[in-house]
Amino acid sequence: MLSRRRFLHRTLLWATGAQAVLGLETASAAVALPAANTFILAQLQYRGGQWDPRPRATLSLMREVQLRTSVDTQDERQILTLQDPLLFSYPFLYMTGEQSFVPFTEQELTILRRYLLFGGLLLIDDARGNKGRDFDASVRRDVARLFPDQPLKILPPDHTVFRSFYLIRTVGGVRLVNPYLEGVHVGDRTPLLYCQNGLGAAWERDYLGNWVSPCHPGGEAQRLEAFKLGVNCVLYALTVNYKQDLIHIPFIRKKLG
Amino acid sequence: MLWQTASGLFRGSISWEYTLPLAGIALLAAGFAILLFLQWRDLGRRVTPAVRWGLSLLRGVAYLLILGMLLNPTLVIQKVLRLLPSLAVVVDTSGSMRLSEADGKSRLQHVIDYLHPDTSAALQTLMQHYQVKLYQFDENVRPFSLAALEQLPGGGDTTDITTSLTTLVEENRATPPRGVLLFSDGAHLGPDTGLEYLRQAKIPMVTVGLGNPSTYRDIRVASVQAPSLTFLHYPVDVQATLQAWGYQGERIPVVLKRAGRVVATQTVEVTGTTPFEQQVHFEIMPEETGEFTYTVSVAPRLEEALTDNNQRTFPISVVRDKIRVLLVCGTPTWNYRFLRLALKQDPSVDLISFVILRTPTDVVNVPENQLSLIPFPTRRLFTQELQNFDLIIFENFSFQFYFPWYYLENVRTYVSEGGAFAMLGGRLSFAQGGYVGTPIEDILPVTLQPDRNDYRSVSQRMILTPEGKAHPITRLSADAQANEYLWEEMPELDALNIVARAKPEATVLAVSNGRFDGGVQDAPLLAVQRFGKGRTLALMSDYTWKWNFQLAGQMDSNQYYLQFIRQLTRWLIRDPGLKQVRIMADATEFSLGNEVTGTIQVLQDDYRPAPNAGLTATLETPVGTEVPVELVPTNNPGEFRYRFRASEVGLYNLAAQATIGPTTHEADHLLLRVYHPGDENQQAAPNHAFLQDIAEQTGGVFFALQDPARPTLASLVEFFGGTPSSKVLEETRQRLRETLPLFLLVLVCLALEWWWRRRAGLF
Repeated sequence: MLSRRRFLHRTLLWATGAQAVLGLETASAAVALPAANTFILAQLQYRGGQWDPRPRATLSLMREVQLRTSVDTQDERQILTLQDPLLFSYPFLYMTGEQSFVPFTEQELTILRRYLLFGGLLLIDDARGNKGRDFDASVRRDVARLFPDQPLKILPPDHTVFRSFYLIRTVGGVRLVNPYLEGVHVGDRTPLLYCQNGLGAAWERDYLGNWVSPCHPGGEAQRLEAFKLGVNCVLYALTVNYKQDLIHIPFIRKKLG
Repeated sequence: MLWQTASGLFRGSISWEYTLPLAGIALLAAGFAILLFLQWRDLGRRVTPAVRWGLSLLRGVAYLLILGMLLNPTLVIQKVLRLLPSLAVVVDTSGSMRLSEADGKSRLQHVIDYLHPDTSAALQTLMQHYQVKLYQFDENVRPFSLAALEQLPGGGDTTDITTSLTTLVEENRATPPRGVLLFSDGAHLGPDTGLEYLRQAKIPMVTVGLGNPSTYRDIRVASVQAPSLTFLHYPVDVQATLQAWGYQGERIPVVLKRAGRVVATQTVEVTGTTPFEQQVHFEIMPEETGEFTYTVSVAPRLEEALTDNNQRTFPISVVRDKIRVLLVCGTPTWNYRFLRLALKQDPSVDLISFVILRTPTDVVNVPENQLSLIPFPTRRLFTQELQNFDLIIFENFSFQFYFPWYYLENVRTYVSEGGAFAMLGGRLSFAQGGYVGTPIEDILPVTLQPDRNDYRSVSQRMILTPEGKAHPITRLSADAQANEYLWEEMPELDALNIVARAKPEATVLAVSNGRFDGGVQDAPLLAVQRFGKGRTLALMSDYTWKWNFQLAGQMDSNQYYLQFIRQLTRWLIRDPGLKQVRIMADATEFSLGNEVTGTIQVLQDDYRPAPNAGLTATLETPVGTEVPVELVPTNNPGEFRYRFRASEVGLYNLAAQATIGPTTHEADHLLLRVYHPGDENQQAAPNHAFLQDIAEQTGGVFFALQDPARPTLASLVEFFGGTPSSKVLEETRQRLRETLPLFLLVLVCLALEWWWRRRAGLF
């Protein structure tokens, strides 16, 4: 039986879709207090480059999380800069781009560092995938300034982010630049995750609900992996190392074979 | 020459105090000898031999007297005091000397009989040759008089032979004794040092052994090693040292008891030589927290000299090594995330959490084996494992989809029997979580809204009530003003579960400053209460995570949130540091016979002193009897003093329970240790080998008093030796040449010679 919450949610989805057909666009505005402690994704706006190449990507992801998991999400994202006083109201921050961007100031780095050390998570998604150039170069430059002693490292296959909801064996995206995810480790957490495979492009639908970008070479299976990784990143942000608790390990090992 | 008169002992002697050179006197003597010879030769032709001899004799005596006068003889008359060499007789008067021997007499009585003038000539004989000084010792040495010999008390707390002898030697350094005659059983309990000093003092010590090592029988629990503090469910190793004198070949059961109940038994076979010693091991596994009294004991056996040393009592405090917390969360939210991190960061917390990651209405798009989800073991958790947790937290969790209603009965039972429960707000908590009318509502400190529509998204602040300002959960600073300020700076909360009201017996620590539909104001936001033996808490918001992350953004610190969670946890599990009844003692242990004193404090639910508290206390003695203990209120509210006399050695268990109005607080209790100040009731085996060692090191001899072949008194005197000395009290000197008789004697001799010469016709 459909709960009241689910009914309202699906009605909203339909209404959104109807709005899309009618050309109405849902504005990304300042968020009113949600009906419950819902998950709201915040997207980072930065200087230079192109901070929002896939405007509808996070909407798809939020809907996916809402559909598959017990997490209540809000479709609308919250757009923030690092200087925004609301930054610490949104512990999950999504950053994407295609081009190189202006380096963060020292003050911005201090804020971001504090954000990550006290429990925030930053998911960086390279929308273009040019290794060593453009967005990737800028990301690596500023991550090195952010955590000089903790470089970006390839996450091992048994990292919690690959187990926080789905058991992930491959990293998807719109393209397969890297078969892995990178991250910065602080203690027993990984507050910064970096994917060069264009997750947002794989998530994004147009107003008619069609996929905007095809996924190469793996097609829809590769897109599914991108969604799974996105869902896992959200669950990882909310549950941290929950799946590393001893009680889970035998079950996970058995499922992984 | 000595002579005794009524006025004393005198000694006379001649001393030659010549002032002329001895060579001159010798020359003169030679001259006189020549003259005498010439006279002799001359008289030989003129008189008869008799006259010759007579005249020569008279002349010779005169010459001698003249020479004598030149040598200045002086008569010295001294009044002297005769001094005997001293002898120290040292008697062991420690507790072990009161033990009876086979003849029924104590060791000390044997010594008294040997020394007392009425029963033995020993002391009198010694006094004829020595100036006898009597000493007694136990932990220290001190003199006593002969009159006190018969009444020597014995019973000293310990035996320190070497220190006592060293002190005696030191104190008599100016006039060292000729020797020491030591009477002791050798049960030395002092330090092993001192023999080298005694050896270098060169005072021979004759040691006399009391007691019979070969017939001495005793079994002793010499020591017990066990940790005073251990953790629940951790094995504890208790190691006892058993000693035995006699009982060769016998098998002796050693029993470990807790509060009088046997916990374990080991059997030890006495083998080898006396004294026998063996370690006995016990392993125990504490199954509950608290303070417990354990005893290692051996049943008294036939002919055992001491039975007080057959057991040793020791306390073990069992505490939780970790606080086991079960956190059940209905859906992952930031509140779960930061609460989980706070609990995981606490090293004393062992967190088990279950988060519902997928509900039955969520759409699955992959096979189950591609999901990391595990079954929620509700049956095991809520029917078997509840008692293994110290705290259960429902965080935004509705039970309705996951387990039957009656599991909540188990939670209620768990809390009433001492467990702790907390419900944190959210869309799936309180009334919206379906808890109206359930056992959970019974244990919560709030009554729920019956209409199940209690969740409101409204921005609000948490305002501390007067009780909340002092409560250990919400006390973030010891300074009241600083504490209020901190709470005022806390970020706003964005939602609240509205409840109907707080229960009468609950304590509301904080309210919301928000205004809600229906004119609801001051809605309870944080409330606590005691339920049965346990405690519960209701926090009506799921936005407390902002006190962590948002405050970190403002202040670069999340310490207050972490502190809040830590204090909340500790209060719920009744951390000993947060007890409302506290028993304190004025000392860590007390000596037998002394007063045991201390203070009891009673605090209200808000942890302020309870001015109208009624307090009862009971005292359980080491043997298990309960006796009343007097409590006297002090001038401070909620404070009482207790006092009782420690009449038994061991652990006293003082328990106190307070009442304020209809509410009864949980009792506190404290184990108070009373010890015997000395060790004499623990170890009394004769140690003649030690006495022999002292004798050898000091050049003395050893013998057992009961030995039929013991040395005689004469041989003792001969052994110690020594000659009397004298002390000059007065002295007079008389020069004889200045006396008339000597001068007259010279004249008489010369005059007589002249008369005889004349008669002989020599003139």
